[in-house]
Amino acid sequence: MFPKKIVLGWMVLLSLTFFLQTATGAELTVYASDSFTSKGSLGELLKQKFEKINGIKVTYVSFPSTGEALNQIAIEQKQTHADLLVGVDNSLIARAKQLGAFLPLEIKGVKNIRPELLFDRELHFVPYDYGYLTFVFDKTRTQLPSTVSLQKLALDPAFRSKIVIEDPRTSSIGLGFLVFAHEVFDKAGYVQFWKNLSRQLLSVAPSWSSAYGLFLKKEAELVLSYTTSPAYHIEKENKHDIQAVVFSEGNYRQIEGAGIVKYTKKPELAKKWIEFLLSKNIQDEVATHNWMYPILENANVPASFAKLPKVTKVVQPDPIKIESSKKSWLREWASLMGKP
Amino acid sequence: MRNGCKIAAAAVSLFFLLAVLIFPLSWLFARGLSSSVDYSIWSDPFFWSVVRFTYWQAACSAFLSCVLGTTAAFLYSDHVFPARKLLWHLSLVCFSLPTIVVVLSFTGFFGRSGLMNSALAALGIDPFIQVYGWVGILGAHVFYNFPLFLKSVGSALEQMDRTEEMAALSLGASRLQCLMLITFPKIWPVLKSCFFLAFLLCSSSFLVVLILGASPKFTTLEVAIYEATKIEFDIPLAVRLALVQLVISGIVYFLFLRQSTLFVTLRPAGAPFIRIYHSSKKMQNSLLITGLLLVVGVLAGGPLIALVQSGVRGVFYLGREFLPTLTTTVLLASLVGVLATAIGISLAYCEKHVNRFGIGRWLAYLANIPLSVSTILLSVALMLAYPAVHLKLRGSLLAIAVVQSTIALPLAFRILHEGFCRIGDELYWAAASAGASPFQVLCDIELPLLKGPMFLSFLLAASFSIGEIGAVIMFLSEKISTVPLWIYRAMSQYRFEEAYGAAVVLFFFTLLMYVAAGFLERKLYGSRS
Repeated sequence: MFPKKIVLGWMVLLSLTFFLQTATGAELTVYASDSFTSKGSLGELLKQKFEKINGIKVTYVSFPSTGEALNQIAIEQKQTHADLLVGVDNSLIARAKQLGAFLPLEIKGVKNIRPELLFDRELHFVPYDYGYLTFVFDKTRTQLPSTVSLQKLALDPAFRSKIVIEDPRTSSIGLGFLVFAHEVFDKAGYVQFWKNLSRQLLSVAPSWSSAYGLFLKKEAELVLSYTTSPAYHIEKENKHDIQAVVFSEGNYRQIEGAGIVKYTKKPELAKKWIEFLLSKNIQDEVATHNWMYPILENANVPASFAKLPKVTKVVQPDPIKIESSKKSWLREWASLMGKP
Repeated sequence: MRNGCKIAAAAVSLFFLLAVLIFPLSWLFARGLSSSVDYSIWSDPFFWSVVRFTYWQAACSAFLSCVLGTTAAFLYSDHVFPARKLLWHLSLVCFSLPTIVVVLSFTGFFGRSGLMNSALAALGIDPFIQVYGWVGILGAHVFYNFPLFLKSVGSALEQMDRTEEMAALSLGASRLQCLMLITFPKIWPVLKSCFFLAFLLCSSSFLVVLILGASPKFTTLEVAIYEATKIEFDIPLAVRLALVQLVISGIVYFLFLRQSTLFVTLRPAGAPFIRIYHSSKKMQNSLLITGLLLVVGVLAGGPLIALVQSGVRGVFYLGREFLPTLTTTVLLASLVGVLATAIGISLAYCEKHVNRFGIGRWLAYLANIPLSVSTILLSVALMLAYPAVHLKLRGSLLAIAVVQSTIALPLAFRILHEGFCRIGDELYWAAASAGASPFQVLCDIELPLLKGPMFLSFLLAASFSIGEIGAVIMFLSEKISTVPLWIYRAMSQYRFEEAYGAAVVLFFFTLLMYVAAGFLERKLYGSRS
């Protein structure tokens, strides 16, 4: 019943697994969301360049969202493997700081950042890019003017079950959109907006990547993304049909930052990594690898960025206000959406 | 020390069940009812909408699976048609598929840009099937639950004595009267038992709802517990959600236990099988069979074709980094197979030999409790009961293996219990007359005769582990990546080619293990269909 060769082969395979599992030794561990670490992303480029220049191995631990990465640090506390956390945005920063698990930083290059983009005055988190939330569409399938009203879009029967947004409980962009709606509508308008929008939704995806994937697979016609997303299709695919709208109500500015976990045993190395992230060398790559605006004004952006819609009315609520209301907002949102 | 072997088996079984199952679940129960917790959740409308949706979708899914599976069982048992064997094998493939593969196959076939809607679009018909939401959730649940009815009801119909039906027909009763008044009451316990099992499985649905529901509108308790634990980091909420799930699943499990016996009177040995439920009109038969094959073909065959079509191409996109993931999955599956089989043997041994105070019988009842518990629920219970151990074991294969093998325990126990039952009494008498100790009986008689059931138990527990994702997600760390998690990640990062590639690898692995298990089962027990 149990031929010896099969048992022997099985044992060799298991030993190989143990070897492969133990053969990975990291020097610097970075917790980040899947979108930061995926193939061809800014994270991958940063890792390659940093490892090559400094001879230090960088290991990314990917999570479906930055919120989950932050939860992991909250659970692990002193036992965390993380040296750095990347991707914390305006909607998460107050909570991240409340944890008290991040070091205040003195980083070279911060002085070159525009003051309104410094979303954390105490510099526990240093911003490295920003973008504006909006809906993206393919003009071969959908016709929309360059500026649209969000309230009208939520009512348009042409978009019934054709919009995909990200879940605010799992995705920072989804949470940004929720915060934005709170900021631009009054109480009654806000409730009505979500009731209307829920009829237009094909799916509430757990992350930006999965939402955008649904859009690219032509499952959805509108996806919640960034005004800079069309640049990717112009640069990488020479495709000019993917376009972004500007909301007449204004657009939410999302800023992303990185911080050093205070339990790290390699603070200098971690600081070096953040300084490298803010260096012109990497900032020049932000536009073409993370498809966001680089935080340094003098960083290069491709010509396609000139064709992107210009946001004139910026919405950027106070992170402390977001954190204090977030739980009740999420509960209220779930109740508004949770009526099958 | 003649009873040393029995005491050791009882101690091991009791320790495992108490430490891994009973204590954590009791702890969870106690925390959920604790007076120090905030009770505002009971008045939260979202909470109640989650509870309502969980059990409503489970009831709908179980009902639809019952309708399709039972119809298929009647047609399968009473008709001879060309694709009869294919229908049987296809249903077994559906039953064996890991959930993540089912979800991916469904989006590949029923998605707006999937095979079906693309074919409809080519014919000038607008896509009308919406895989996200109710259709996707119910479709996926029916996909892997209808085989449960087909196999159980089909076997009951083929094995039952049909003398009464023949007598009724010869006295002038119509086939419908015969079906409703004689056959249906006979298979009713089997149907109820399958319904409760399908209801239990669907009420703890996780990945199907997480991906195909993709909205708070479609949140099950299982998804809500996961979100509360891993995303919202709201443990009190997770505890109360888990408490509700535990209580309701416990009640359904109790109902399932009461029905889990096959009550049909078996056909006498050698008596021929008489086909009753087929129309005398050929046209009517053909229409019925074509209809059934069309439904099963679209529901089960379509997604599998989409999976293989995209997956074979996708295999070439899999990079070298996939190899450690695959080997980790195999290692984990092996661990689960060994652990579930070892505990299963210990429990089955107690059930057979430890009769004092009914310990063996009680242990057997306890061994079936995991049928009403999901991997997510058990993981939360273990995390809360042993917080320090959880932090130490987070991301270790051992923690995941313990959870998965506990959930696979009823399966392992059933196989090994049956194995013990098949050992002839004459062997025990012979051993007793030769003065053999229980330990000698175990080593020289029982274990050699149990090789087949042990291997079968190992294979089935390992197959379960290979496709399981709940425990992996709950004990997630950078050190662990299994194939289902890898697929989920690839889907989230819109690396669909790689996701399909990995899914097809997982599909063939699982299929291979189930085919081997089926082969072994036939060898051990003979054909049951």
